[in-house]
Order: sequence, then structure tokens, then C-alpha cells
Amino acid sequence: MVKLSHRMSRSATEPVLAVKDLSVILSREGRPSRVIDNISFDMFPCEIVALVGESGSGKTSIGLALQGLLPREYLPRVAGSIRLAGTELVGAGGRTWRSARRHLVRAIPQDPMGALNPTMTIRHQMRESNGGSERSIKDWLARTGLADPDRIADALPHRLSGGQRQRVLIAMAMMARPKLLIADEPTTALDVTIQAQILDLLRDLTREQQTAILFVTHDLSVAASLADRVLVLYAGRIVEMGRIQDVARNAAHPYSAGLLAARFDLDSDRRRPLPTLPGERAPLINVASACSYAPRCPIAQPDCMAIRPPLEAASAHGGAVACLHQEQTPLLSTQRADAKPWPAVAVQETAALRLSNVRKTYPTGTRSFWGRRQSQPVLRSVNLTIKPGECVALVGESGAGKSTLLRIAAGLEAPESGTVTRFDKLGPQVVFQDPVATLTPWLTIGEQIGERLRGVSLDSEYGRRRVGEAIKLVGLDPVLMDALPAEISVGQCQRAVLARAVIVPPSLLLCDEPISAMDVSLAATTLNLLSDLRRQLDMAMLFVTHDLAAARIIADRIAVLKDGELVEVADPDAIIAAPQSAYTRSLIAAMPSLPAGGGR
Amino acid sequence: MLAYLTKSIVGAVVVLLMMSFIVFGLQSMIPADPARAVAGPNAPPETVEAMRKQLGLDDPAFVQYGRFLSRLAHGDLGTSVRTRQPVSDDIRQYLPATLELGLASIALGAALALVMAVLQFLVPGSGGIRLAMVGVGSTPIFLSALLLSYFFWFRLGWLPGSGRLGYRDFAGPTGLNLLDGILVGRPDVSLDALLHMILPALALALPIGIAVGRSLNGALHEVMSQPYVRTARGKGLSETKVLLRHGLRNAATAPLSMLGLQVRLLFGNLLIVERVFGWPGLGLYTVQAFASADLPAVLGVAIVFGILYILVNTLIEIGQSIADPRISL
Amino acid sequence: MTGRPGQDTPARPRFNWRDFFRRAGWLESIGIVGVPVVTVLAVLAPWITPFDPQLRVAGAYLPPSAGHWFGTDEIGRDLFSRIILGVRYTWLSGLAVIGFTLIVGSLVGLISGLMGGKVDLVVERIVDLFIVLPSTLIALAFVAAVGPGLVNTMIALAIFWWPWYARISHDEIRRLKARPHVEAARMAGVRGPRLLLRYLLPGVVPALLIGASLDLANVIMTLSLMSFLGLGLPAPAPELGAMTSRTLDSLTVHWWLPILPAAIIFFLCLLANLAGDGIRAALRGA
Repeated sequence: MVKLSHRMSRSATEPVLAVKDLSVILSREGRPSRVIDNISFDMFPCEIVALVGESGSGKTSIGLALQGLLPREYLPRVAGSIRLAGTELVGAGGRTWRSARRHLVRAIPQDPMGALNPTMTIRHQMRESNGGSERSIKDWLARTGLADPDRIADALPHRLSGGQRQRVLIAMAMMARPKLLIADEPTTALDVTIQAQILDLLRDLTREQQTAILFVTHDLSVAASLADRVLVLYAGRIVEMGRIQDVARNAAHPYSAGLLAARFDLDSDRRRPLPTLPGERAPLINVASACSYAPRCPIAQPDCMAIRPPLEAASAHGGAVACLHQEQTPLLSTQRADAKPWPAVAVQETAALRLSNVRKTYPTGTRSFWGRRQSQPVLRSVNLTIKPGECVALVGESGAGKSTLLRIAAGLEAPESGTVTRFDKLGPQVVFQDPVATLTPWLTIGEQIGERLRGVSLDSEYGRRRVGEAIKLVGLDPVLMDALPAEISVGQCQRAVLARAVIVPPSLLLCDEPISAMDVSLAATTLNLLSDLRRQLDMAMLFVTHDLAAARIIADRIAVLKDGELVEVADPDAIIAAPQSAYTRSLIAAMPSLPAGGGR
Repeated sequence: MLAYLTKSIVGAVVVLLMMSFIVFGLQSMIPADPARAVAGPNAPPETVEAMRKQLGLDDPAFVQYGRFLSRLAHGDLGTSVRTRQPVSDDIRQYLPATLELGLASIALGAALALVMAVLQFLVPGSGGIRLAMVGVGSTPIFLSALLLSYFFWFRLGWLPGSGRLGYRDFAGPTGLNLLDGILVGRPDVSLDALLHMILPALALALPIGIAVGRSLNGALHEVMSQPYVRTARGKGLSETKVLLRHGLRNAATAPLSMLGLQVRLLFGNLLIVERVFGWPGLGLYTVQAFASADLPAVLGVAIVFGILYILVNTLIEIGQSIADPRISL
Repeated sequence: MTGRPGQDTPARPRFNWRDFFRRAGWLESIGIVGVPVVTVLAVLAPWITPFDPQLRVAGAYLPPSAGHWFGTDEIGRDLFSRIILGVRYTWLSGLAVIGFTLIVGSLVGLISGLMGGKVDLVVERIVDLFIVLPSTLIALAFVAAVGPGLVNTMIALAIFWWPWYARISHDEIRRLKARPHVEAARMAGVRGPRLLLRYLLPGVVPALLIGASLDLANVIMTLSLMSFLGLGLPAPAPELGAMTSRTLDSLTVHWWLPILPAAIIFFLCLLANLAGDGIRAALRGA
């Protein structure tokens, strides 16, 4: 459809993958929905293309469609054309598809934990792959940086760590020497330090093997650190494509511009609210003849609701964009800087929470017949004080003991030794990781928020008014009071959870990884909301996260936890400018960042 | 491994103790006076009283239970009211027939389950297949036994419908005719035993096959939507290979447990099937014991079946740990 | 983010019957409707039999005809009327066993699951023990020892059935207690009976309902098995299993006498199984 000028140098080379007018319709519970809407793109050997989009944008479906592995229970209907190394795959039979999967296209999944057969040794699983001879198994395991290939090969998956499993999966995919590798968020389930290693590995391998990589991600900075080109996906359509530097510097589509603005890193301005994308993606209405981004677009004009914008050459860079008013997009970035800074917090020199010498061990392994278990320390003598009105971020990788510390602070668990002192008779409130799972599916939002008004009936005028006020405070429509959690979006669930926490403002709010499973924009929105609420309601806050950038944005102090011990507690800017411990330094070094973003 | 052995032996002993306790409790519920039963209906009261002493029936309950346990440990299950023989002798006589039939139907049931689940997975079921499966699963065992015997024996005359062997005086070393025929070099006997076994084994295997097959099918559906199956498909393996190598083994745990549950129901079904097909095993023996209120015989059989059930469950646990190496014994 | 395509269509909103039946499947919906219908018929049985089931109303051994749909038995009683009465015994006693064990079992499971600690460990072990016993056989031995009769067979079944519901409700309550939404409710200050009634029970009920509906056919099957072995009601009473076993020998001459009562048991079990499958599919979305 669109010839890309910057690819002219490569036009002599045949594309590895040519996707043309691809559409996919999946049916869930009898309701068909178009998850991929008429997209076209090419990929060339050695090229890394990032496919960027929020959850629900259809990016995972594209990866699956390219392998012919769309789940059969959703009755997939695929139209258009996928040519992989010269072979047409749309409408091809099972044999062609299997041969393509065997020789041409491989995938690295998002979650390495579930992607290996738990009852089969690594060696057996690798042997099934094309080119799985004994020697190449050993070679490839070694090449992906696994120290002891023989031991790994004979192990069952549950004996390996997440990082090791992801390396095994990469080895298994690469040993078949595929032309195309689909990497579907291969690092989201991993700790930052390991993420960086895996990305390096992928980059080296493509160069060596002439493989093209389609890198599926929701995170533009991860994409930027790796990819040559980017495809921005919104609601199943490509809204912008081009070289990654071009799009990162001069985004031509308002959606890409919004995504870029909403991402935060170690250089983002933490004195004022983060820029966010307006609203949330509306459920797919009939947008066949409209721009699907129009309902959220700050520069939308009446014609955006009437014409579907074609993908055409972008004026801002050498790529392509699907926007009727792309010349307006640069104006967006200038509008952003004028957000009002946060008011200063009056931190008092007393304590809202004091943890002294807190220790905790957890039982491990299987229970013996008499119920005895072995135990392993999770927290070794932690001392931490949070002052009223102050926000402390607790940063650490998985297994560091962050969540345990939060649960002890909340009183959900008792420490083995040491003391927990809370200086308020009204207990702390907790915001858990997954907002949907924290809401009871069979009770309405209003009922659950109202639970904290002890003894006040929701049927009373007063009860409804109080709940309504809380719902408005977190930026929700009071109409949603009577909705069930399944009827509202994840972002709305997150706000409802916050409303429940603050309807009677606690003096201490504990947040357990509240943004770790969220898209960039929703994460930024949530950080803003939390920052706003804690200042308005004068709450102290403990914010547990694995994301140093988020910690820096929200907190007044950062505490770094490693293997159950606090290795560093300091002011956010100080900790990032001059980290005192080697561990903190490695965390900072592993942070992905946008090359065009700042000077770091 | 050692820990597992200790655990399973301790578990088995606890279950057996529990069973013996129940059996002892049930025995003492017999409305009729055992002393009078032994002494005879016309014996004078003094004789009955002497007999009571002799049998230890005036001792405290726990002493009697201890004595009962020690008799059990020596393999003494009492005397059958009906056959006037030691129950243990009766059981020794009838057990091989039941063992043969039971093992055959478990094997046949498992095979049916496997075939059905795999077929149903590869060829997604329509309403008709679903109805047929639920239908077979809803058939009371006596109805399926009756229908099988009515059609294949009475109507069509294809298969023998009564007894376990056409040869009258054949007696092999193990008592399992199918095996004995091969052992003593009489393949004709084995064939005849096989033919006799088909109908009753099928009647018993149908409910096992349906229940285990449905469980396996459910487990397969879950397993086959796991990410690691997507990985396997992504390697370009054929659907059959994916199912056999990656699907079945991971789906084995739940259907194996279901097989264990079905073995428990098998004991009840054996009574009916052996009655309908005149199979001279423990089931028929028990049915006759019911008819003549022969409680020692019923309880003796219950204990033996209890031991068999514990054995089967142990085998199933071992099978599960082979299927899934993460389950350590 | 979870890697499932097309996931953001809003999942299952409020309960409505149309969706319930659609998820259950058309075949299974017949069972779900059939179970209450049969229950009503069973309750009304004495008033809807076309003939007096205890009296001679025609010649002996009449084959099925327009006058006597299921024919007549060895002394000329109307088989159809007797079977309707038999359905009443079998069905209602099956429901009674399920209802009773459901209540007892789930209470035991709920209480031990809520209390946790030592009590829970002990109850769990007892439940395990009951579950590994070869229950059918012990139930048979039990009835043989205390004497045949409908009530005795029901008691024998109930003794060995409750542990299943204890296990289901125990496991569900333990699972729910660890779920974030229950923890969140506790943090919100919900305690005691309110936590149980609003946050825990509604989550336990579906699993129990699924278990109970799938078990109804099993109970009916076991009851009729016992009745077939002569452990149910004594002779003249029209119990379905016993009707089959008493006329077993006339199978080749008067086929309807053993076959029709057994076929009706089949029909009842079929309805119950379909209902169970449907309820499971509808509640679990499987």
C-alpha cells in the first residue's frame, strides 16, 4: 500500500515478510469482533520492527496470525495476504503452515514460565525443534549465555529461573534458523537487570543469523532501545509507521505523540503531573468509516468521525501515518508543559508507620507427612519509618521481599520478630496489584466502596451521597456506582479501588505494585491520581514497585530492598544521581530509555 | 522414596484399621445372637450361655475388638453362615475370577477412555456425540448388563452370556483362566475365557470409560490451551504429535484420580454384573450372602476389597508421579 | 497484556436466564428444565397415577398398549402407575440424600476452612479418610448389617457422601480467603458474618451447586443399585431397581417388566447428568 522511502536502499532485497490488507475477526461468546483491521507492512532480513500498542490493540493477535496459531475456540477468520519468504499463508493448508512454523517463523512468548512443557526435559523439547541435534542443543544453550548447558538440558522447566527459561526459549527458536522471529513482550515477566541482557542477546542473534524480528511491546522505550522501525497499532489498525528515531522525535499521529508523552523515565519531570492520554480506549463501535482514535483525540475535527483516514506518507518524517490532520500533531507537545506543579507537602517530623527490626521467614518446599516444613528468610531485620504525609517507594526485584514487607505493614501478616507501630487508630488501606481481582465480582462498585462507611446503609441518602463523592474524587462517573466490576474497564476498576481506600481517608495508604500490569498511559494516569490524592487527603504512602522510574516520580524517598535487606534509603534524585550501592547502580543501568528522550 | 513408602504404609494401615473398626461395629449390630446361631436354634439356654463364654461375647467391647484384629491379622475372617466354611477359604476360591474380570474391565475402561477422549478432541463433538456419552454414563449398570446379555447372547448368540469358562474341569495354577491357558499351553482355554469375559467386562468398563474419558477430555481441553502447547505447535509439530507428546502426559493427573474413584464404584458394579452373567466370583458370592443375611461373608469381602482398593490407589499415585515428575513420591 | 487476543470485550455482565441457558447448551438446558419438572411430578405422584399401583386392574402380563402404556405385571397391576410411584421413591430419596449431605458437608467444610489451624488439619484428615474408604461396599455392608429398608440405604449413602461436599466447600473457602478481593474486603473493615455472607458464600455456592447437580445421578444410580440387590424397600413396594431385579428371569418372555423400570432410571439419571453438565458449563463458562 505504502512504499517507504527510507527502505529504498533495501528495495533490491526481497522482503522476508509481506503482509497485505490483513484482517482478523475473532468471535467471543458468539460476538464477532475485528481485532486486526486491514493492515499492511513489510519486513526485511536482519531488521527489527517494533509493534507498539496498548493491550487490546491487536498486537498479540498479529503475532499469532503470522504463525497461524490464533486460538481455534475464537473461530478466527483471516482475510488478506501474508507472504512469508515467498509463500502465501492466508488460506494455506495445515501442511504449509506446519512447514512454515518449522522452518520460517518462530516465536518467543511473553511469559517464559508457562511456555515450556512442565513434564518434559529441556533436551527433549529442544530436540523437537528443527535442527535439534545434540550438538546444536548444547551450542545454542551456551550461545544464549546459559552457563551449564548440559545441566540445563537435562533439567525440567520448573528447576529453572524465569531468565533461564526465556534463554532456553530463545535458543529453541533460534536453533531452527528462522527467517522471522516474533517476540511477544519477551521481557515483561522478567526483572529489569535480566530484561536488558535478553534484549542484548536478541540484538546480537539477529545480526548473526540474518533473522528479522517482530518485537511486540506496549513500551516505546523498550522498542526504541532495540528496533530499527516501529509500527504503532491502535484498535487493530496501523496508525503510524517509520524509523524509530523519526517517530520518537517527530510523532505524526496524535496517538503516538500521546504515548510518547505519557511514558516516563528517570528524566521525566516529577514536580508536576505526568502527561497522559485523554480517556481510555472505547469498546469497538462501528468505526468502519471513522478514525478509531477520534473519540480520544485532542485535535479531532468533525471529519474524523466521518472518514477513515488512509495510511499515507507522513510530512514530519519518512514514514507513514493515518491521520487527517497530521499537521496539527506537533502542537500537542507544546500544550503539555503548562500543567500546574504539585503543591508542596508538609511532612511532619513524627511517624505514621515505624518498622523496627522486622524479620520474616517463609516455609519452603513440600510439607512432610507430619506437616513440618523447612523455612527461608524473606526479610532480615528491616528498619523503616514513614512520616505523616510522606511517600516512600520500596523498590526491588521479584523475591526481594517487597510484598511481604507491605503485608506486614498492613497487618495482613505478623512479623516473626521486630515491631510494627502505626500511629493512627484508623488502620491503613491497601491498593493491591490487580485492581480487577481486588473487587468482588458479584457486588456493585458502590456496595464495595460503601463497606468502609461502617454501619451506614447504601440505601440511605447520606450513604449514597458519601459514596458518590468518593467516586467523583477519583474521577469516576457516579453512575458507575451500580455497575459490577466486570462491566467496567481496568482503569475504572483501579479508580474504584482507590475510591474504596479513600472514602474515609486513612493516614497511611499502602500500594502493592499498582501499575506493574498496566499500559504506559494508564500507569501515568494512576501515578497522577495517587500523587493528587495523597496531597489532597494528607496521607502517608508506601509505594511498592519494581520500577525505579515510577518510584522516582511518586516518592519523597526511595528505599531499595535486596534479598530482604534495605540496601539504600535516600531522596529519589540523590539515589539516581549518586547511587551508593552496586545493586542500585545495576538497577539504574538496566533501565531502558528512549534515545531521543533526553540527554542520559 | 523411603518417605513415600512409609507414608503410604502408614496411610494404608490407618485406612485398614478404620475399616476393621467399621466392620467390627457392624458385626456387633447383628440383631440375631451369634451364640445362639452357633449353638443351634433348639439348644437349651445353658448351652447358649456356655457358647457365649466360649466365643468371648461377654468380654468388654475393646477386648473383643482386639481379638477381632488379631484374628484378622491371621487371615481369619470368620465362618460363613451360608456355606458353613471359613470365609477366607471361600474368598480364596472366588477371588481369582473377580480379579480377572476386574483387571480386564479396568484395562478395557482405560483404553475406552483414551480412545474416546482423543477422538472427541480431534473431532469436536456435536450434540449427538455429547448425548451419546451422557447417555452411556447415565445407564444403570444392571440395564447395560441386561441389554448386552439380551442382544449379544440371547438374540444374536455371538458371545457366551453366562459363566466364565466352557471347559468344566479346567484348573490352572493362578486361577486366572486367561493367563493359565497360556501357561499350561492351552490357547483354546484362553480364547474361551476371553470370549466369556467380553460381555461382563464391557458392561463394567463402560461407566469407567465414560467417566475417565470425560475427565481426560476436560483435562486435554485445558492443557491444549496452555502456552507450552502453543510453543509446541510453534515448532511446526503435527497436531497428533502435539496431542500425544505434550497433551496427554500433562493431562494425566486428573483422569488417573478419576480412575481411582471409578475402581471404588467398580466393587458395587461387580456384584450386579456377576449376578447378571452368572460369573462365579466374589460379587456373586456377596449377592448370595446378602440374600441369606450372611454377614461374616459380606464383611470379609468388604475387607478384601478394601485392601485391593488401597493397592489400586497406591498404583495410581505412582502412575501420577511418573506422568508428572514434579509430583514427588 | 495477558496475551489473550480480543480480551477487552467486557466479560459476562449481570445474570440473566437467556445467557445462562445459552452457555449451558440446548441439550443440557433440557436437563436443567427437566429436573424441577420431575421433582414436581414426583411430589404429585400419588395423585397422578392413572390406576391404583397396588391393585390388580387388568389381566397379568399384558404387553404395553394404549390402555396400559407400560403393560401389566405378574398379578395384573398397571406397570406405568407403579413406575410413577417408583420414580417418587427414587427421585425424592436421591434429592433428600443430596440435600442433607450438601448441608452437613458444606457446613463442616465451611467451619473448618474458616477456622483454619489445628481444627482444620484434623477435619481435613478425617475427610480424606472417608474419601479413601471403598464407600459403596461399606455402605452395602452397613445396610446388610442394620437390615434393608429405604431409610437405611439413605443413611448409608449419606454417611459416605458428605465428605465430598466438605472437601469442595473447604477448598473453595480456602481459595477464596486468599483471593485479593476478600483480603481487600477485610482491609476495608468487613468482618464476621458479613464477610461470610457477602464475600465468601456467594463464591462457594457455585462450586457446591455444580458438585451437587453432577452427583444427583450418582446418588440415584447407587440407590437403585442397592434396591436392585434387595437392600431397599421390602417386596410389594414399587422401587425401580427392585422391580428390575425381581423380574430379571422373565427378561426373555416379558421384556417390559425388567427393562422399563431400568429404562426409567436411565432417563432420570440422564436428566440429572445433563442438568449437572449444563449448570457446570453455565456457571464456570467451560
